[in-house]
Amino acid sequence: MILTVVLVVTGCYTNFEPDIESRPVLCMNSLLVPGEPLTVSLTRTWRWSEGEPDYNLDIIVRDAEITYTVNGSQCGTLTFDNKKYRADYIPEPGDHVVLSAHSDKYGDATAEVTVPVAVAIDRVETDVLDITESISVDSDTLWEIKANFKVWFTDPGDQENFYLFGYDFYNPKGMTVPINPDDPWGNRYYCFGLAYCSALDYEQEPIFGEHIGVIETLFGDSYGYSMFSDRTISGKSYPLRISAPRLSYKLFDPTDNPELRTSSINMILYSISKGYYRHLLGLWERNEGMAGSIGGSGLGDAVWDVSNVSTGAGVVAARTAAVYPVQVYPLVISNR
Amino acid sequence: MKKLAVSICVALAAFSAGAQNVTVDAVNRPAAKVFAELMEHSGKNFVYSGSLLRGMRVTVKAVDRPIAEVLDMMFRGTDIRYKVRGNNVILSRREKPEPRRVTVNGFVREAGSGEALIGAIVTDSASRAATVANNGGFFSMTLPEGTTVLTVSYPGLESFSTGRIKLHSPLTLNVEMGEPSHTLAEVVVTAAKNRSLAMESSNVGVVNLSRDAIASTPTIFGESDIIKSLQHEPGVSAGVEGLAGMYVHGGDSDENLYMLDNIPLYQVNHLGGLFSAFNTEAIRNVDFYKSAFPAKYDGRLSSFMDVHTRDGSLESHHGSFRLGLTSGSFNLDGPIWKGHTSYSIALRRTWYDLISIPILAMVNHDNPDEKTRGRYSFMDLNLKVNHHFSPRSSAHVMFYYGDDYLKSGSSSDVSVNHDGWFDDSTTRLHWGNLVFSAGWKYVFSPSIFGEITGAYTRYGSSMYYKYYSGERRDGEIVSWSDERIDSDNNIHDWILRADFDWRPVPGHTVNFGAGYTRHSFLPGRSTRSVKTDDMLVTATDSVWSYRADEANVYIGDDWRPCDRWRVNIGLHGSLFSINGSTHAALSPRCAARYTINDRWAAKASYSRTSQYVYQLAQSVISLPTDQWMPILPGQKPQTADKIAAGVYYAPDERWTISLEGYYKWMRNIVEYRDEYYTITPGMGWAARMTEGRGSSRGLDFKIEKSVGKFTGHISYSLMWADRQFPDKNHGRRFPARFDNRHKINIALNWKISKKWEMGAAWTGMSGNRITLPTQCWEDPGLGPWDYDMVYATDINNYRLPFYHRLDLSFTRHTKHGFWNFSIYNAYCHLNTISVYRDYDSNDYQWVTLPDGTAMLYSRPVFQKVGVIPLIPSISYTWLF
Repeated sequence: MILTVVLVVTGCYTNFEPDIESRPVLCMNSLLVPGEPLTVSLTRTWRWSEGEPDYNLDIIVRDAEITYTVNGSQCGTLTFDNKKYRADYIPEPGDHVVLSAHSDKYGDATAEVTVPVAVAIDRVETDVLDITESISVDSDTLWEIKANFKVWFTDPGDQENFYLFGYDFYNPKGMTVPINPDDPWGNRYYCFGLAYCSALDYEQEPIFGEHIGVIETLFGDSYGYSMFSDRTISGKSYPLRISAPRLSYKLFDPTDNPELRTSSINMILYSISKGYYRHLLGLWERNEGMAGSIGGSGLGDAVWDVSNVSTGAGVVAARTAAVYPVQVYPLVISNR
Repeated sequence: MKKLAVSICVALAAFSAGAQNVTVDAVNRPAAKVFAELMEHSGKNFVYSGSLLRGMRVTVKAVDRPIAEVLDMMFRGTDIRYKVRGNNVILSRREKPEPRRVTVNGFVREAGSGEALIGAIVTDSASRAATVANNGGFFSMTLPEGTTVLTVSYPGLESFSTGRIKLHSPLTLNVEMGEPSHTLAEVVVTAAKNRSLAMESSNVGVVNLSRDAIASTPTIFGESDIIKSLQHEPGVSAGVEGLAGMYVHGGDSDENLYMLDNIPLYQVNHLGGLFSAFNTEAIRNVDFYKSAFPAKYDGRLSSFMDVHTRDGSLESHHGSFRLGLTSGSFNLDGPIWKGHTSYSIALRRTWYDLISIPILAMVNHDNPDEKTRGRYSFMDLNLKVNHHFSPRSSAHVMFYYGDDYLKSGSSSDVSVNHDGWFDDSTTRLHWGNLVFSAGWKYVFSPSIFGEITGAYTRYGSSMYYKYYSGERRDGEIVSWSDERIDSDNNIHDWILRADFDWRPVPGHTVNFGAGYTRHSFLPGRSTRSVKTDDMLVTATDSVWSYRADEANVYIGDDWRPCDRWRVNIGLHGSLFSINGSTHAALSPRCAARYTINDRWAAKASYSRTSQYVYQLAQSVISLPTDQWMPILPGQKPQTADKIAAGVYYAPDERWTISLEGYYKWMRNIVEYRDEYYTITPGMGWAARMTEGRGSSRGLDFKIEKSVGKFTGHISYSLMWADRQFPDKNHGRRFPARFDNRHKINIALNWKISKKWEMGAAWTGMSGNRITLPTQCWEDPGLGPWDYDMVYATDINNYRLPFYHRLDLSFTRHTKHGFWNFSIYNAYCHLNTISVYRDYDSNDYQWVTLPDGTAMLYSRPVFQKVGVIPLIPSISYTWLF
């Protein structure tokens, strides 16, 4: 049996150059975020065997003209500066932005996007399942917390919405304080509060897997992908079930400074544009899904990355964040 | 020499219309001369065809008798009559009275086994009429009363002759035919039958394969396979290397209707298509239609394959046991009640798991903290019982069960003696078919044969996944989670059908029938649940299920208006009702054959077919997740129109040469739309699909030698196939995946001696088409990781290199069985099945980045991937 399997799966790989013509076109990438100036990365597509942009291939298109309109009004031209085209315009939620690029060498590219309005996180319910406490040789205290969170939000229901869940941590700046307050020039403590974890666990939330087929659930990997649509929750209040299997919080503050106890884990619900969402779906399918695996081997329909630019290359996306901080210290205090 | 009379005297009297007397005295004189004199003397015009009186002599003596009386005397006892019209006397040949007709019917069976000999030809020497035994071995023909000789022939078997018999009353003729004294190679039997199909049948593109012909085709792992045998036919693309794919005349795999004793099978593959679901040991023969379709068949666009299973011998028990590299099979058949009831059972099963389970057990024994589980097997069970109530009545029960089973899993527990994590995962997949049918065959009258069948057929797949993990502290489980996925995907059909074979008058064979099918579709329902020590989350992905009703009626007439012409005209009507929406389709069929002379024949045909169900498959590999779907409201039935024509030349009994051409138009065919993966599964499959059209055209050329120690065929196909969908490839037409422009097959069989036989099969064809994106674009950085972005391209824009392969097989017959040695891909040509974008692991170089950093760089390259080298295999079959 083993011999048979070995014989069948032993492949012979031969380098070659397929006789297919490929013509470079413009690729336009931009992520519009409220509060941040508009920037556009304008590059060209390249043939796979041509080289690696990070190494030996310059794909940046510097001599193009990029114009943009906001809500139907022509607003101006972007200028090239440090690898990107930039404008002073700062997007706001609800803005409809159209980007048009022209290059004498690579042709035209256009794309449009509407900056989504953030959907607030109503509340976060926290359930601490387990907590352990240990004190290190450096006298700081380490708590390891296992907790489940329910991140409640209400989908507006008036339109098609797309979301991306994320998180980050807020940690106050550490500070050095004298061990003896009467001796400010004597030995000093470094006081800090630091919350962190390697990753939150999304496996318990089925809506993150709505794009995953059954067999992909068995053989694919959904790790890192947390986009979803409101198709099944339109107009409803819904809790995202997030788990923190090992949330760590380290504190050293003999001074009992409240500022140092403000560490939080920030639950972020991004409202994302449709092009952003579709791009993520395509990204997951091509790299983790069954269609990507089969298509990539030539045994099924081809899977490529999804673009909303007229040339088929690049993504002009937008996202607006709603942030809900969950204070860590109170969790520790109330559950230890 | 007879003495002729020398005197004649004709006296003329008053002549009036209808009343004129004449005198005539002739003894054995040529009639033409006597009439010439009568014309001269009576003034009447005698009108007759020159050939009418040729060779006729008359003896008549009349003196002054009315001309009518004289004519009565002259023509008494002959078949000539006359009519007086004014001054004209019109002579004509009297129509012969129709001889009384009698019906001869019966069954043609194989001696010993009692198996029906489908396609046996019964010929009447007197009238030169002929008929063909149907699928039950039944034949019926109505013949003129009189003396004749009836002969029954079947390729490869000793012809049967009644000798001179006098037909004067209905006759039942049950014939048993045995092997001739000079045994031919079994493959000859089939080939000769195909010669008969080529020259006699009106249908274009018909192939019949016997079990032995299938078994003699060299295949991968030595596992004989119907579909892999048919892959050698012109116009049939094999799909991907090594798999039992079948793409007929540019069609897709779900456009073939596979039938087991006329009952549909939905999933015909094991192990992703490496083997088909048909166990050769259970098969009697196969009818395969690829161009012109009898009215009986509908429901698919491209081809119909009806596999006839063995009935079992009524006389004695037979069996075989085969052991090969991948599977073993056991076959037994014989009488339950001698002469009345027979059985046939065939079981095939892989035996990989018999090795893998103990190997894994040994591996796991050495590593108590981590255990690995794995198992794969497939099996087929065919069972058939036949009972003959009387010569006119018989019944059968048929059962088929095919199953693939894949299980994998692992567990690790580092916390047996201390704190830590543990997990346990299990995945189980089952998929396969179940068919049960019961039928009753009855000869309702000497000219009507009928079969009534009730059946149930099911394809289903189920998947189960469980992942249990947790943490243990001080021997106590402090946290855990239990994730489970259950998924089902199936289609159930309940079928009731009646098929009749009626031979009303000589030259006509009328097939008619009706059927009803109740379909139930569950095209993928899955439930996922995650349970932890404090939470349960359950989600059901899809809740769709459908029921549909399908009704069919058909009638077809195979008509021989004369020796040279044979015409088959039919009509198949169908209704398909789902969710209150009803679709109707009429599918006309027409085929005609003209025999130019004994060596040449020409045919042409037109067929329309309709298809109400289709398969959702993401790949050309057969996966358990492939779902059968009905057309839904808003969708139209898929239809195809196909015209085909062919010329056939058979210089003698050994050779047949054919050239067939076809053009096929397909409408409302369904495929995944571009970027379908951006539509989540929960939105329904219809949203992921696009309806469009396709066409295919081509030529099939075949030279076949069917008799002798050295037999085989050489074929060449020239094919084009394309598709066009509004939501695919920007609406532009694109070539089909298996648009294999040229395909050449050479299949040879050499019966070296009584003990040794050799088979060789060479296949060469233009490569399959794949979609090969050549360009990349800059990663916008929106995903969780960095990727190379793939730029969209035209569909099927690249043709893989020319595919070619030689397979060999050697058979050594022994006293109790035979050994088979086969070599797949004998000259070890690794055919390209795919193209990857990868980095050249043999070409690293240092590059300096703009910031001055030196990095090791590997060149990105396109790579052709070739698989499946030379694979030898061996099997032994013990016959008893």
